[in-house]
Amino acid sequence: MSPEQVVWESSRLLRHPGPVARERFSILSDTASETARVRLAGGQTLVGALDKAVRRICNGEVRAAAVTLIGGTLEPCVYCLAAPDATRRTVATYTPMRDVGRVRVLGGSATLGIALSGDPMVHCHAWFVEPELGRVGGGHLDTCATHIGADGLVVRIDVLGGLMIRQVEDAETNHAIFSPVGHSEARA
Amino acid sequence: MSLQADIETGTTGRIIYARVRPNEDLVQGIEKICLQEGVSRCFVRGSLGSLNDACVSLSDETLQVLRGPAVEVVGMSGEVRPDADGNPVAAVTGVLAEPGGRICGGRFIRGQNPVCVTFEIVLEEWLVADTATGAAGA
Repeated sequence: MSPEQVVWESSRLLRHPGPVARERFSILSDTASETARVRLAGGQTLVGALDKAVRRICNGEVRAAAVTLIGGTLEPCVYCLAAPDATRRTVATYTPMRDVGRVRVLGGSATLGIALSGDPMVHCHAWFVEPELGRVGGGHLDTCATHIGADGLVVRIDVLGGLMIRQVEDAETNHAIFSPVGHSEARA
Repeated sequence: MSLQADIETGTTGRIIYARVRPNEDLVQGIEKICLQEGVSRCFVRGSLGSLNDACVSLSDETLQVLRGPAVEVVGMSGEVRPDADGNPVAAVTGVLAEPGGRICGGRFIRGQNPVCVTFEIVLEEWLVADTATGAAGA
């Protein structure tokens, strides 16, 4: 593989269906108010378990959080990958969801925020091994269909101070995307 | 072989959350966020997103290109340190999933990893108190 080929192949820019937003970075910062190591109990959905844990850490308040997956199991683990969109409505869409049953988590990250509907939402990418097959996989988790496994799941939770993270409609990509939208009244 | 470890003590400062839009480079994007926020040192935390295509180094000599769209970043870690002139330099590694499901990993090459739909970046500022060289494991 020549260096020229590498540059051409990997520096490809893609035209999305909507107008290109002028602002390319949306950035907010705050003092991280709480950090916790949490063992999520088995049987709950991933989104339900994380929402409940953060509310407990924050005395019942709804707060945004960044989550690092340390280890444990998911069962079932339901996930998908990205794929080109044949309809051209978007540049990249999702493959159908795959249920791979029980997996051991190798790592991953998640953001807890608020969905368009107003419900808690978790955007999570993770990688894992299927214990019966020894096969390593990873992708975008369906956090409503994925449940914590019997071994539990250990995570590090960093509450994002008073930052508010909400899913917003994005005209450029035709996706609904997490975005920092401001600070809560209870800002630290 | 030296058994000395470089120890840098400090505390964490601000936590920064950034949404990076399409076609911005992942590595330079992290550096731009640091410039904008006035951060000279930080750890990359809890970040995730997708790339048009990805280019990672497996060693000093070997590069690997993964084709999208989109390549999902399913694991990521790294840090930002200042160069001799104080400019932010990000060193970031990741685990990647191709559309076909193949998993690969490596160090992201600057300027070769354009964001596809979105990338969520979380940075934890690192405020250095003191640097010292001590015995490994101390």
